[in-house]
Amino acid sequence: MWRRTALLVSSRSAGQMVRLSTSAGRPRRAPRLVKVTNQKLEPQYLTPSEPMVPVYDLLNIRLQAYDFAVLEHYAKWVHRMLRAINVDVEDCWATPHTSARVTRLKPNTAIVETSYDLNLYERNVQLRDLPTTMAPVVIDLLQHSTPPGVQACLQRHKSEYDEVRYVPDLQLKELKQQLAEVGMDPDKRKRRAAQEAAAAAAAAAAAPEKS
Amino acid sequence: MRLTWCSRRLLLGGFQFSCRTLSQAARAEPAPPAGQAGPWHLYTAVCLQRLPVVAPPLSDTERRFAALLRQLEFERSLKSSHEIRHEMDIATAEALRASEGDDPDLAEAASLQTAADFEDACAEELAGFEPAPTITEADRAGDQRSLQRRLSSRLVLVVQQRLGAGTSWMLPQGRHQDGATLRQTAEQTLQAMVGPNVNAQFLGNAPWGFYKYKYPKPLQQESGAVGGKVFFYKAVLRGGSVEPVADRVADHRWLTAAELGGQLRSRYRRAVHRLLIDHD
Repeated sequence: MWRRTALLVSSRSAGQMVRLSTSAGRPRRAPRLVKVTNQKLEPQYLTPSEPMVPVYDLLNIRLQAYDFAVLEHYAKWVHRMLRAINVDVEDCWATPHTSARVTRLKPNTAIVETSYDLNLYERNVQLRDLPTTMAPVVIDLLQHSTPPGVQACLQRHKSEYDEVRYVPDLQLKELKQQLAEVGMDPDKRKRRAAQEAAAAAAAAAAAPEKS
Repeated sequence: MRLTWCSRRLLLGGFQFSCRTLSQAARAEPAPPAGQAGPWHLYTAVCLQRLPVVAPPLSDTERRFAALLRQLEFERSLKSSHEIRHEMDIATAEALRASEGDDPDLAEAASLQTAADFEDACAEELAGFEPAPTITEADRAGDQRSLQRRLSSRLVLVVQQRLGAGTSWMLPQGRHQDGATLRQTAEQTLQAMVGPNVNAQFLGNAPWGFYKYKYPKPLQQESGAVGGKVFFYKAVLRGGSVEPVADRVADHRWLTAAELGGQLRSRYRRAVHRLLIDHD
C-alpha cells in the first residue's frame, strides 16, 4: 500500500532549530511516496516507513567569495543543478558579508601607501535528507564546477548559522546594558518576580511585627 | 553531462574477453575443473585527480558575448562615485581658475588627491603586479610527470604498474584482502603505490566504477581464479607529495582525460571514462 505523506526525519538533536519549509513563491512539489504502515489499519507484512538508505538531516553548502556577481550566479547555478538531480533543496539564503581592510604601508614607515576594503560575501544552499549515496556525487559536482575565486564548503547545519543572520538591535542592547549597570536585571520577568518577592517579604516582616 | 547513480554503473556480465594483464600475488590454489565458474579476485583501483587550478580560457563566442554584456551593462548603468568625484574635481579646478586663487577653501579642495590622480596611481600599481603564468614551464617542456602542467584541466594519475614479469599502464590497483572494506583497500593501495605522504580525499565508501577481465589460461590454472574484478574509487589530491614506490611502479604520469585515451587500453579506458565528468 502506498500513501502520500511527508517524509519525517526521526532523529533530531536538541540544539538544532526546527525549520519549516516554506512554499511561498515556489511551485508546489508532489509529496514523496513512502511506504507507510499504521499498526491498526495496515497489514503487518508491510515494512515500516523509513528511508531506503541513511540520509543526512540538514546540510549547508556555504559559498564564499569576494566577487559578488560571480558568487550570485554560481549560487543560482548550484540551486538549479541540485533541483535537476532531485536533491531536496530546503532553503537558500544570503549571510551578511564580513568586511576587512588591508593596508599596505611604505617600507619602514607608518605612511599608508594603499588600503583596500574587502567584503567577503556568502551564500548558503541548504539540503534536506540528502541520501548518503548521493553525497559523494554532490561533492564531486561542486568540486568540478566551482569558479575561480569562490570557496565551497559542505557542512552540517548548526543553530549559530541562523543566529548570525539576525541584525542586532543596538538600541535595545544599550538600554539593557544601562539597566545592568544600575544593578537591575535586564530581563523584565525576572525583575518583576524579584519585586514581588521583595514586597511579599516586606509584608511578611510587617505582619509579625504587628502581631 | 550524463549523471548516473553508482549502482547503475555496475556492469554485470560485461567484458568476457581474455586480457594480457597478469594477476597480482597469485596464490597456489587448487585449480577449478575446466568449464566451471571459479572465484574472482577482487581489486580496487584509485582514480587520483588533481583539480584545475585556473579557469579555462574563454572561447571566441564566449569572449565576444562577454564583451557585449559588459558594454550593455556600462550603457545601462548610473554614474559611480568615482566618476562623480572626477566631475567635481573638474568643477573645482574651473572655479579656482575663475576666482584666480582668492578662495582658500577652493585651493584646499584642489590640493587633495584628485580622482584622476587616484586612477593613475591604481593603474601604476596594476602594471607593477605580475600574475603567475597559466602556461608553465612544464607545459612548454611537455613534462607529463609534473603537476604544474595544464593548470586549466583536471589531471589523473596513471602508473606503469609491475604485474608479474611485465608492466602495464593503469590506474593504481591493489588486491582486496578479506577483513578490510573496499574503501580501506583503496586507501591502502594508494599509499602502497605512491608513498605515505600523499594527502588524498576519497569520495564515498561506494565504488564509482567497475571493470572485469579474465586471466590467461595458464594463470587461471596457477591462481585458481577466473579473473579479476576491479572497483574504481575516486580521490582528489589535496596536498602532500606523490612518490611512486619503485618495486610496485615503474613510471607514472599525470594525464588529462583526452590523453588518457592514448595511454590506456580501449575497454579499460571506457570504464575509466565513465568515472570522469567530461568537460574538457
